Amino acid sequence: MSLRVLVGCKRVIDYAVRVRVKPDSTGVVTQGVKHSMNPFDEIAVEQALQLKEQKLASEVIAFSCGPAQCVETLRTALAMGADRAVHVTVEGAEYENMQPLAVAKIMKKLVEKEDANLVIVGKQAIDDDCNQTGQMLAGLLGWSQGTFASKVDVDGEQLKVVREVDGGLETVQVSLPSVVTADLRLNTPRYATLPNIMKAKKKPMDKLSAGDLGVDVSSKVSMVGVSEPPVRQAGSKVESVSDLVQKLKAKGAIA
Amino acid sequence: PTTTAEVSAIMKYCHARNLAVVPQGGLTGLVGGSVPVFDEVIVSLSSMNKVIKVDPVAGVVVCEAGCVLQKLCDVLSDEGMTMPYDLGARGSCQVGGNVSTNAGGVRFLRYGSLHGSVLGIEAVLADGTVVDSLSTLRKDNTGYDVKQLFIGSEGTLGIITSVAISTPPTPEAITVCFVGCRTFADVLKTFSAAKHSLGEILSACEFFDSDSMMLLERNLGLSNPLGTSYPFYVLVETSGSDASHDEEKMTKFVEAGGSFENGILTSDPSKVQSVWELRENITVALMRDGAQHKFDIS
Repeated sequence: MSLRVLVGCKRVIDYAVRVRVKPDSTGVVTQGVKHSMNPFDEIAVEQALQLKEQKLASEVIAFSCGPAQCVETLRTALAMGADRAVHVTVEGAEYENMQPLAVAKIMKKLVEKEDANLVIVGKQAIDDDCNQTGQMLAGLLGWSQGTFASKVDVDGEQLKVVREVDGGLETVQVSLPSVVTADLRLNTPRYATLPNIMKAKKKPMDKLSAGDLGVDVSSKVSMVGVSEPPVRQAGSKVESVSDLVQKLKAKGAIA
Repeated sequence: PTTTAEVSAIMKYCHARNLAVVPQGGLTGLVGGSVPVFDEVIVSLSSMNKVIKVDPVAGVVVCEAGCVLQKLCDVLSDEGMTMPYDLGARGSCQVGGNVSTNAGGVRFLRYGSLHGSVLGIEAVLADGTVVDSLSTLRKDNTGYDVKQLFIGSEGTLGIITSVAISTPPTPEAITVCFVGCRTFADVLKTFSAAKHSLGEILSACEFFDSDSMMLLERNLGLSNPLGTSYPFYVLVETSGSDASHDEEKMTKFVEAGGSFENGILTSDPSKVQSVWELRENITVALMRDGAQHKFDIS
C-alpha cells in the first residue's frame, strides 16, 4: 500500500528559551518569545520523509492548527521536505484554551479529506506534555495505534512498531491505516537545507478554519492559574556524622 | 575575598612579605594564565559575584569580577540586553578574567574588542592600592585612560575587582547559516560575501576543517548537519532587530552562493545552539584525543 502520510506539527515555545510565567499567573509569556516546531513533531516529519525516500510513502502532508504564525512552522516542515502543508486557523482565546481532543477532531476531518492512511505525530508537545492527541485520533478514527515509537518498519499492510515503555521496549504489529506517535529515539531530524528552503516557498499551503471542517474547538477545560515551582532552598553542610544525625532529628526526619 | 577591601588587604600583606600571588577566576583560560608555577598564593575572585547595577537606558552593567558570564547574560536578558562578548566557556568564565585576558569570543566581529566595550574598571594593585576607574560614561576623556592598561594585562598589573561594561540590546532575531566549502580560498570568499551582503547584521563568522568535524563526530557523538563531509565548514551568524529584514538579507547571501555548497539555515534558538555546539566543542573533542590544541584564531 502506498502511504499517504499526514504529519502533525505543533508550534511551541523553542526548548532553548527560558520560559517565564506571566505576572498575572494566567499562563506563560508567549508574546515576543521565540517559537519553533515541537521537537517530537520534527521527529515525526523526519520519519515521514524517510518513508517517502524509501518509496513507501507517496505524499507527506504537514498540518498545524493555530494562529497565523503557524505558517512559519509549516514552512519548516516543507523546507525539511514535506510535499504540502495545511494550516487550520484557530485564533486568540480559542487557541489558548484548545485541547488535544479538538486537535484530534480536526485531524480526523483532514485524514478523511486528504485520504491519508498513516498519521505520524510527536508523542507529546513540550508545552503541555499532554500525550493525548495521537491516541484520541486513533480512537476517533477507529484506527490502530503504535505510540512512543522508537522504530517503525513497514511490512506490507502492517507496521512493526517498537515502543518505548517503562520496562524497556515492546514490539507490536499494527494493521494499516494507523496512527504512530514518535518518541525521542525514533530518528534524528534533518536540518532544512538551503536548496530545500528555497523550494519550500513554492510548495502549496492550504488554509482552512476549524469551522470549514465542521469542528467545534471550544473547550470544557479552563486554565485556573500557572505559577513557578517553589525556589529550591539552599542546603547546609555538616561537619560530622553525629552532626548530620542531630540535624535530621531536629527536622523530624528520623526518630 | 568577598570585597575589594579584602583583596586590598591580601595584596598589602603579600606585598610586604614578597609573596607571589596568582589571581584566579573561572579557570577556563586556554593558555595556562591561571596556573601557579611555584608557591604562589591563589586569590580567587569567585566569591565576588554581585551585580552592582544595571542601567537599561544607558545600556551599562556594573558588576564584581567574579560574576559568571552566563549569569550576567541571564540578568541582562530580563532588561532586553546582552553582554558585548560571548565565549563557549560562558557557563564558568568570570568577567574579571575575561577582561584581564581581553577575551575575544565569537561575537568579536559584531561588538569588537573589550577595549571598546569596557567603560570602567576597579582594580587592586600589587601593593594593595585600589585604583577606582569605575566610570559608566560611554565617553570619558578626562585624564589618562588607565583602565585600558588592565584590559589584557593578564593580572600582571593588578587584580580587577569590578567592571562596568556597555551592554547592547538583545538581538530580536538570530539566524545561523552553516555551509560546506571545498577550499580555503572559498572560505575566504564566503567570509567576504558575508561581510558585503549581510553587512551590519553579521554577528559571527567562524570556520573549521574536516578533521575537526571528524573528531566532533567520533569523540563527542555530535553529527554533521550537512550530512556529507567537506574540507571546510563555515558558520555565519546574523543578529538583528527584525527577523524578516534579516531573512531577506540571508536569502540574498545564500542565493548568491558561489563559494559554498550545500548548507543549512535556521533561526530556531535550539537549532542555533546545536550548530554553535559544533564550533564550541572542538577543543573538547581534541582533548579527548590527548592533544592540547586550541582552534581559536581570529
